[in-house]
Amino acid sequence: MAPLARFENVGLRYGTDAEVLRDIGFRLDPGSFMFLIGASGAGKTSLLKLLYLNRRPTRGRVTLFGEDIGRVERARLPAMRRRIGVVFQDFRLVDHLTSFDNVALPLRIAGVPEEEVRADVEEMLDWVGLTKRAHARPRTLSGGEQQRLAIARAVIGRPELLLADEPTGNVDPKMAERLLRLFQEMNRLGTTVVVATHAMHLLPHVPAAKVLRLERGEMKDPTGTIRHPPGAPAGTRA
Amino acid sequence: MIPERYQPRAERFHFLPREKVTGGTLPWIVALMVLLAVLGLAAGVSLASGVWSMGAGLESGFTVQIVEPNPDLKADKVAAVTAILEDDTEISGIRVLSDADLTALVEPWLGTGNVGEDLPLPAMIDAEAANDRALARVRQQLDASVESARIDDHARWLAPIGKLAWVLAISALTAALLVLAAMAAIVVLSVRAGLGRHAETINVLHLIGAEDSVITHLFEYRFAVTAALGAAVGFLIAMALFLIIDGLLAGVSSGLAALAGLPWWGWILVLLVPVIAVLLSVITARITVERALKKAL
Ligand SMILES: Nc1ncnc2c1ncn2[C@@H]1O[C@H](COP(=O)(O)OP(=O)(O)O)[C@@H](O)[C@H]1O
Ligand SMILES: [Mg+2]
Repeated sequence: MAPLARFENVGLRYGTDAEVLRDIGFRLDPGSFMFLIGASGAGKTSLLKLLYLNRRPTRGRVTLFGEDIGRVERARLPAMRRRIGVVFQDFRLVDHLTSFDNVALPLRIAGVPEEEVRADVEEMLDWVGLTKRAHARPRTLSGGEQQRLAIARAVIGRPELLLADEPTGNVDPKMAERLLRLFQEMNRLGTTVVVATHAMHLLPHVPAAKVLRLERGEMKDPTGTIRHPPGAPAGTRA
Repeated sequence: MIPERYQPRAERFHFLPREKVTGGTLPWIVALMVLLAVLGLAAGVSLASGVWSMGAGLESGFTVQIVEPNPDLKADKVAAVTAILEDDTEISGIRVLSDADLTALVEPWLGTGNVGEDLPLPAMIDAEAANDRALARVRQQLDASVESARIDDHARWLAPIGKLAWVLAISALTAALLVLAAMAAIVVLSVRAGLGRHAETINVLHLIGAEDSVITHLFEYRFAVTAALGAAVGFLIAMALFLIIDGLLAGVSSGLAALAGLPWWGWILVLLVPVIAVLLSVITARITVERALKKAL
């Protein structure tokens, strides 16, 4: 099976700073679920930026959907991005739009007819429990509501690849588990899921997940993804 | 103000926050620029065309001058020249200037009453030639048969006036183009300000798969509406000013009306100004947005 994404000796630096990612190599199979773990500043967000085509690698090769993203023409990026859903660490909700319009955005950008948009968005808002806040502005939502809205916007287009950057950072443990179940549900429906988190206690909830651990920009286990964490400290378990 | 179905998707669905078309100074700047360009162009063109038509009336004319102190001989020579001119079918408007005409011509230099019998004045005959060949033919005939008759053709004197008309027309056009270029420069700044104001949203739109064209069309649309509004206002003010100027000039002289003085091609140039202003705004906006967006991945 061809990998959905493949990293080979990947390095990334911002400007002329030192590399924040070094010698990253792994493959992401279609339909898989992967946790990206590591302390704050380890490079999780930077690695996701390569996957959501916000950066090209400064060294090595990243292949996504069969394309070398270091070389792919800029004009082809939007179509690739529409196959990816992203829950940004800082949500990046569009402030002047209502919850409804935020969730509708990816569909409208893709040119989906408005009747379909309406039905899909209403269903999605219901799924994340935001139907009552459909006409509220993101600024007026609680942190947890904003996070669910960001997730709704990321999954509305039924992406092939779902990237979630610390998606449970602003919610209580119960909501965190619910959101994780939502990602698993997506995964069961065929979406490849990557969840970046420093919350190790989430890992046991998804036993089938692979784990990629980053430490100061390097992969902790150079052989690639590990089947299961060797053991999250007992105290951090939910 | 524009029905939704004629708006680009990005505007219809508020991809960027709605902004009032009249918000900011851009419509007024466009209005001012269009006003200046129209006024300058109309003034330059009507002056130039005035000079041209004045020249055209005189250009075909010429004067035969006969320097002969003996009045009897002078009369004979005038008769001979007149006969030659009248024989030619391409010469018209033959007029022998009377002594009174000649006195009036020289009095400004010699002083009224100083032109007496004892001052030998040349004889002068005004005429118009249908073309340069007719003029050359007459010149040849006069040289051969009438001694001391000299042709003075007006075109020679009018050549600098023709040049003046060209200079006026080209200056007016250049000034109008420079004004429109200044407007384009302001559009660039305004687009960049807009891109800066919405940088975060544009970044998000990109990351969730929007093509550059989504954002480009939105800016094109907004600048088209803004420029069209400004251009219309500027053009209407210019027309109103023309009407007022015409009214004022009508009291002075009926021949000087600014609008009446504008030839048909001047009207086309003037009408093109607002159209060009809008097109230029849209094209400038597109190029500015495209360039800025290309800098990001
Ligand atoms: N835009 C940026 N410019 C410069 N340095 C950055 C930028 N983003 C992140 N970094 C640096 O890269 C390193 C990794 O950051 P990040 O990928 O955000 O880690 P994590 O998501 O694991 O907390 C940090 O040292 C951070 O300071
Ligand atoms: Mg991060």
